[in-house]
Amino acid sequence: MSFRLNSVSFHYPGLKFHALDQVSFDFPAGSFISVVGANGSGKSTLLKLLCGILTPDSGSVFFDGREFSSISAGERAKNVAYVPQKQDLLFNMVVEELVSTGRTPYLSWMGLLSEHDQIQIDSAIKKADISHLKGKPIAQLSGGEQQRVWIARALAQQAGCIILDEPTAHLDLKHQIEIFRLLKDLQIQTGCTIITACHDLTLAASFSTHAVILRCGQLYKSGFASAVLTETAIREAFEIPVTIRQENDFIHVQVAASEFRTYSDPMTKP
Amino acid sequence: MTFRVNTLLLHLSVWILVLIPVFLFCLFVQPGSVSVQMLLNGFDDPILSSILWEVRLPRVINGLMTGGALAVSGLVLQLIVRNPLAEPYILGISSGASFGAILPLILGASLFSFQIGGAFTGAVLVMVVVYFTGLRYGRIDNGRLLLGGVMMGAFVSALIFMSFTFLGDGLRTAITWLMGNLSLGSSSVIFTLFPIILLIILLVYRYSYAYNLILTGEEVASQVGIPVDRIKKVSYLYVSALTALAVCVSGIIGFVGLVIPHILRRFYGFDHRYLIPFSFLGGGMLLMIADWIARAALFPVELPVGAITAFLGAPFFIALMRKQST
Repeated sequence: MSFRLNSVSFHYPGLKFHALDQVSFDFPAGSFISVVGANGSGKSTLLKLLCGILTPDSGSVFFDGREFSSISAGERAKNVAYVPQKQDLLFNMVVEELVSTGRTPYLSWMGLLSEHDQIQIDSAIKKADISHLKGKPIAQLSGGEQQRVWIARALAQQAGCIILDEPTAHLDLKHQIEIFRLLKDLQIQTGCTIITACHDLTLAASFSTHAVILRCGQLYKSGFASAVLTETAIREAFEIPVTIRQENDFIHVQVAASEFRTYSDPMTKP
Repeated sequence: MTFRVNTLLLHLSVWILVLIPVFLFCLFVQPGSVSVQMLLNGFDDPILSSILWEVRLPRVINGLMTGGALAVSGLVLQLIVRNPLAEPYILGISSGASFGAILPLILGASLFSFQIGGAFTGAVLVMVVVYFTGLRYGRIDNGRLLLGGVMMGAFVSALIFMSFTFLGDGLRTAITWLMGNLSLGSSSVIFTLFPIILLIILLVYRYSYAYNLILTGEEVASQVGIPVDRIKKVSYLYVSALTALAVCVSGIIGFVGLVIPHILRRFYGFDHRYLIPFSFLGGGMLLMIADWIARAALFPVELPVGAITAFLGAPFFIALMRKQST
């Protein structure tokens, strides 16, 4: 699913400044797009506009050439799935129950699941590799497992695009890599477009085909990840010098050594 | 539990099969008063017949109606304000209704219809104030709504206690109202309100699947096409109306709205397609039984039914929570 943003602006009611100001870019279908930027740069707002939770004040969002505002919410949900940053389940739920809510755009108002829906739910659970967790309450799972459950829910939605808001936040290194590998596999195997906000520039540079850098609500740079995530661009957008080093398929983005002060702390000496 | 229509109907049948004997027991059995035998033999007796149909029957139906309305209100309220401690009284509506009921007594109008009208007006006024306090940028802010309710409840409670100074003979009636009593409403009022409450619960049931989605997060629900803001606003109005109607005919009865939804979630999970009808029946049964105990425990003295619901419900709820955590 391809995306195009045409001069999109948005501000939250009650706030004087724009959360996003005149943002334009386009990406082809089947790409893996990382949205990066400092805190408050507008990443989450951009993702919410892309999946229809927010509506732009001005400008237009197109997917596959169709304008977002001309499509009903139900139809939109069949095309775009969303994994939120803050997952606030009010009461504990079993994994399969949560995944089944991804089928909502295809169900009647009473939400009755057909045999086809159940097949899609089982398939999503299998793809996210959580079959062994199917009957477990969400609260009993680790952060990485919970994130997989939410991705399975998005897969059950059978959308051509999955939008994720910082899916690796609060996860340890192993789980961060696992989540990005899962997303990459989905992009390659199913041709699904993946759009994810991300603070880890190494993950963004290593897994993405395309990248967007936002700075204070404005588009700083967008395009192929290798062309966007450069030392110069990152230094200017994040206001910190970095060095980029490539090792096989992985691209390491590291804060420059000059940024670390040398402390003469006696506690650190053996 | 995965939702199936057959499972819903099966469980509904079991609930109704349990409800019928409970209903008949509460209707016919009462120690020391008109006994079962007298009632069964004396349908021709106009006095006994009048006690049965005009006193007992409305009271038992009131228990079912009020308990059911409060339990469904608590269930929906916990969801829309995203707080598991929420129950109808937390929004201050019951305090508003109580003050509305006491006000005619202060003004010297002792007619019951004035109290009913006052209770409903008080509930609606508080509901409107809390609703507008909860609005922020045109949307209901859960935190503001809850805080607004607690503040209005405290304010109106203060008015109630200050008004006690001016109550002479009406003080006893006022206290009866504040402690909850299922005999407050006349049979005609009960039989008029019962279908209205059932209708509101049916309207609430329309949103049962949408509630399941809202439970997973408001943004997530709105992304899959659920009109979250509209459903929250309408649900708030339904819950307020249910509470107002319940308080009008029963006074303040706490705890049912809190305990029943939590107990049922242990058995039916999060699915509101099960929870709404079974909360109604569960809440109704709890209040019918509590009222029977209130009448029978220290006969001829009658205990406040609100105290009985808390006395029975709290230990049961704590035991259930302990059992789940071990």
